Amino acid sequence: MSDKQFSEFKNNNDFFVKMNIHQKIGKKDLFSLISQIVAFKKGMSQVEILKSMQTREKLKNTAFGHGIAFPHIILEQEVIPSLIICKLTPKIDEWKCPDNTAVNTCLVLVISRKSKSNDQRIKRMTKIFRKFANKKFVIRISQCQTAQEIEKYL
Amino acid sequence: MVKDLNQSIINYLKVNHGFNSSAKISQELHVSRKTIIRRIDQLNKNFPEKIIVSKRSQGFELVYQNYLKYEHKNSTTLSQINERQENILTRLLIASPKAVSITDIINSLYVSEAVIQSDEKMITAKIKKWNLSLVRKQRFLSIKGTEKNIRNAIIEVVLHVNNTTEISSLRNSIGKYDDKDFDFALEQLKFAVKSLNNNLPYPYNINFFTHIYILLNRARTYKSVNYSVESKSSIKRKSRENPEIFKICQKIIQNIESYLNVQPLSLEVETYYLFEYLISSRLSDKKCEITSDDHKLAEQVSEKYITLVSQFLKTNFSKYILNDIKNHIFSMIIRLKMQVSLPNALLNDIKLEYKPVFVATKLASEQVSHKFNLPTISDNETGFICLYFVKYLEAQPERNKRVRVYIICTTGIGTSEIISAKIRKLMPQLKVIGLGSSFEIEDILKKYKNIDLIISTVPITIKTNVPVELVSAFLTKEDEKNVRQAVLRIQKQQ
Repeated sequence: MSDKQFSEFKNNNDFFVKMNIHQKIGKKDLFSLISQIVAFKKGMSQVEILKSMQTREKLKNTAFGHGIAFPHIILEQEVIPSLIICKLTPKIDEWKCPDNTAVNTCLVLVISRKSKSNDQRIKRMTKIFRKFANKKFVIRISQCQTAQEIEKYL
Repeated sequence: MVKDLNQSIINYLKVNHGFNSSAKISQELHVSRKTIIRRIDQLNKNFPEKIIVSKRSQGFELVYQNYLKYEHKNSTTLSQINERQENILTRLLIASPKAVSITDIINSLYVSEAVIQSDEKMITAKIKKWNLSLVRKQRFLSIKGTEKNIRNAIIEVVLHVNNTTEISSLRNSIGKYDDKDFDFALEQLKFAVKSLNNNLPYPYNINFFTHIYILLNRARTYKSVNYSVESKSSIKRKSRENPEIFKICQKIIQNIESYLNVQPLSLEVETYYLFEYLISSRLSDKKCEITSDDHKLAEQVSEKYITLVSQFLKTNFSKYILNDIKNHIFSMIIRLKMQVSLPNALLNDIKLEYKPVFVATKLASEQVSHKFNLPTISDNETGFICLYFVKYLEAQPERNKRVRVYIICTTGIGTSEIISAKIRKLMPQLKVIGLGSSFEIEDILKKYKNIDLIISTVPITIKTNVPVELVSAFLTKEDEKNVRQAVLRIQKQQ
């Protein structure tokens, strides 16, 4: 984690984990960095987290549109669901959305396969994702400059 | 034949959405794959933009927007030979029953005698449809048949009324004639529509307009033509029974006489022809209801149609259809008795889009005309009746046809939520019965036996009979189009 620079990382039990990355980074490195943080926060194996992200990404690109992507971390063991908001100031040119925009915003779902739909955090997550059906909302999020700004709208 | 196959290819692609392989099209149209590929190439060259696109290993797809843009051009795009034959036929029809000099035709078209002789055969075959015959006497050609059949033929051959539902587009067909006549005929139509309380919808407006337009041409060019009104006494009786409608026709004929600068009353007989067209139109406004003995017959014929079509389609049509259909049947009976033809520009599409309903209505038409001793009910007329049944079938409770969808993503809480919200907004006819994770797909299919379609943002690997539509989480326009097509396929199977 030390060799990567990111401006803020709050180690708390909040629902949102916010990251602002100001240096040029590739998709592979980003996944590695995120998995490192989640492993640190949840006290789990980084390998398993990274594998989960990569498996999902291999299934189908999680890039959504307007530079936003929704990578997934789906773990076998119990985990408190959370959402990582990651704003990348230099966008990742190699990672393209269906509308051909390069990814510069990631909302990473961290959930367990055992998560229940009536869990309050899952309900909150569901509510957030529903908002992305609204194009105006998507544009607003894509225009945010920091993870903190994104959090305000979510 | 050339034009028919091209049209068949378009028709096939119109109803088989998405890409279709040349093998599939050739199998359906009973020609070789090479012919299909060659014809599509030819077809595209006829249009400013491609109407059919191809994709390697996927086949051909109709670009519907371009097709709609140039549809009219296609229907009137004829080969040089067809164009020449149409030119000759137009002259003969406009002149009929008078004869036209063959020498004049040869000189104006710069063709040989042999060419004209071969064209005669084609024209003879073409006009059989209206019970007309081509007569060659010495160095003259003429078309023989009843005045009404000649006018019916002019409506289709000269004005291509069978290809359009818009009066304004007829202006293209009459390019070689006078725009002033077109505007004058339009004014007369507006006068009739106003007098009838704005009550002359498609296709009656086009029919009435074309009749006035043709009358202008024929009366100006061949003033001495001696018209005879068939079944004159019955027409006269009907005109006495419907004085208001007859008065409108009288006024229009007076306007025409004045416009053409001919003696007053010299076109008086035309009032009856005009009256026939108007009285055989569907005037639903109570104020201008037509007085006739055929109202009772119309009710009986309508009931028979409903019984037969219900039987053929194994559907119970609501009794409310009777009120709607009997007004149309009433005007159809008048048209059949007066031999007034009503071209149907939608016929081709009706046959393609609503094949089972059209076939059922056609069978009913045959039985109805036999039972009630009516003249043969044409496909054009059958097409119009078919639309009433289609309208009722489509208006049947939507819930019967609502396609039940299940939306899948890897978690069942992420992108599936986005898709679900978009689907509910864009396609309210779909019933979203649940959202789930791709890991649970087997359990979902076991639990919900009534799923018609799965919309998924990730590939589904398990084998299932339920169709799966893979979409992006953003649900792009292309995704939306694919989902709509999948829904349409399911609805057709239901």
